[in-house]
Amino acid sequence: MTMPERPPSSEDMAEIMPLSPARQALLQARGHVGLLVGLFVLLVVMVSAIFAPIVAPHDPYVQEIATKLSPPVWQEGGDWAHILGTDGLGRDILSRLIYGARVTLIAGVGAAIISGIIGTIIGMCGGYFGGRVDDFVVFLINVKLAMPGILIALSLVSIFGGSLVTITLILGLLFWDRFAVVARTTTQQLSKRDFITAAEVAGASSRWILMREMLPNLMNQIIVVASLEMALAILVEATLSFLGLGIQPPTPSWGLMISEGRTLMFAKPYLIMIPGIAIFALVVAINLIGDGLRDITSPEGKG
Amino acid sequence: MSGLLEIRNLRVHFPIGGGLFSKPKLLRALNGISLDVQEGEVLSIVGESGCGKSTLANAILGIQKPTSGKVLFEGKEIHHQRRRDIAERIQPIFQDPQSALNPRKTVKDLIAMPLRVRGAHSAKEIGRTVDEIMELVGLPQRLGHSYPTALSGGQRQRIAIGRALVTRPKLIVCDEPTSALDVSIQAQILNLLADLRAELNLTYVFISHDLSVVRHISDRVAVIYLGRIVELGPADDLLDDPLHPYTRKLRSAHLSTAPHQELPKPVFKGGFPDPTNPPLGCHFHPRCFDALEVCETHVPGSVRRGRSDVACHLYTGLGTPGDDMTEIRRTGSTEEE
Repeated sequence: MTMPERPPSSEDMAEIMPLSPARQALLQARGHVGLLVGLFVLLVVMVSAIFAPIVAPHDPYVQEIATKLSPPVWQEGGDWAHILGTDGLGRDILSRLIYGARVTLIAGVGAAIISGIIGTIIGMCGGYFGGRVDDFVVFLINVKLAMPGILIALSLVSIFGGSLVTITLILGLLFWDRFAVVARTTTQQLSKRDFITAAEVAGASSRWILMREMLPNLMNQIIVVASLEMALAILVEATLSFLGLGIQPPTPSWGLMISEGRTLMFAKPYLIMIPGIAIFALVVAINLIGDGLRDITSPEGKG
Repeated sequence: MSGLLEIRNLRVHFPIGGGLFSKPKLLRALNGISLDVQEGEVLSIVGESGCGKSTLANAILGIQKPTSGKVLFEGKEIHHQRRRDIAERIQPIFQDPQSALNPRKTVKDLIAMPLRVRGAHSAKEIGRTVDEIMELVGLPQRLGHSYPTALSGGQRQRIAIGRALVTRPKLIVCDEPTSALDVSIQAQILNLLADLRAELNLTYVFISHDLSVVRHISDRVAVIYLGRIVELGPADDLLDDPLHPYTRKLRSAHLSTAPHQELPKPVFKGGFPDPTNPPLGCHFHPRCFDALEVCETHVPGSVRRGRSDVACHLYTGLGTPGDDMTEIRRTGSTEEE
């Protein structure tokens, strides 16, 4: 048996280009089809939402009774002036879809950010401090998990009224549990690592350790959870709007559009299909992004 | 002459288990440790896993509160001082650099961490100190913005050493700093530690289970068994001519590098005892081939033999026939409970 030969400068061999973990992830993202498709759809929705006044062909609030219920272009009687047709009040569906994307994205992103901050802080505290604090955090999480989210959202919205701000806040305050679970378990694992001990030995405060040592290591998982929660928040917002407890007319919202088209569902199915497809596509896209992010930031090895 | 670090009858007990109705058991991780570490020396602490080595390291670093006893650094009790002040003078190096370095920080940020925590330095000062330290531990400047995951084990341990040195401490507690490294890298790191010690007049408490590493680097060695020091002496004396039966067995269990030599035979009777329910008397007696009757009932006191201190009834003179209990009481070694 001979020893495998080592190159003379084995230490120098590992001096690869300094690649930051973020840069590594970016390189891997290029090869991930699902992630790219998801990002593309989300980007299209976001750009049209941000530049809605430029992109939208019509004013989403203007009612043209003369052209009401005109079908989309690919159906008989369709008109290029209203590519996706008009609704029962003669409003351009494409324009309402584009303006509705603003509502949808604000509710989704806002709720994900609020619940992300709440859940991450609660979870990190439980995972890091342990003991009584952790008992309390687990209790909070269990209470939250036992609550039927949508029912609570419904009752809160009926109390506080259904503006975009209240809906975003309510969703944000309701959907932090998954963040807390993920942050708690990851923090527990990280707490055992020596770099946390090193910071403790150096005299770092708990806040320092959580924010400067722990949080950067949690970001991967948190972003993945955030994408899933965002999809969920979008669905719940659509549900609430559909039930008439969310965004109030005439503000365009995808859920509200389905609700308004409900009465004519059988005669004019495109009224609910188009906003339905929009919700479906956006939620699938966000879930694809979440899955893709999880794939390229697998927990071990890549840091 | 008093040492840089003095440990006086240190005990650390952990309650473990215990539910609503059952009393928790008491794990005596450290059970009356006394040690002096002189400035500039290397004291190694040797023992099996579970014997309390790491608890001792944590107690010295000030992150493990003692149940009783004292840890004095330069004459002042460590556990009465602010952690940040202790950190300027005592720093750790851990076993596994993979675990000891935050994978989301660059090399420079990792080394600068203790200075940033202290918060008394400008960014410019920190930058300059970090550059000096990288030079000192042999890390090329171009690696400053790399992440530890892109570096080799040896380079990572250099970062960990750099981080320990950045506050200019006097005492470094090394918890098995080479055992997670490739053999080829171990020697480099040991030599680096030896060079740094000479250059910066450092004192090391060096925790290890690798006797050849210990021999290479230490001035004195303390052997710990189940939370008690069984033998303490100069490295050469202790490793060449061990007194305590446990030290002897440890040494003969050590693997040889000679290619045709057989594996060492199992040298202990039985396994490592349950540390929550340690044997009475001398903790080692159930596994000791030389055990006397007195070993089962009485804890041996420490006896001076040559330049070493050894806690064993073979040397206390209590095991010989005709002894009576008065003599045992005189040496203050009756079983405590």
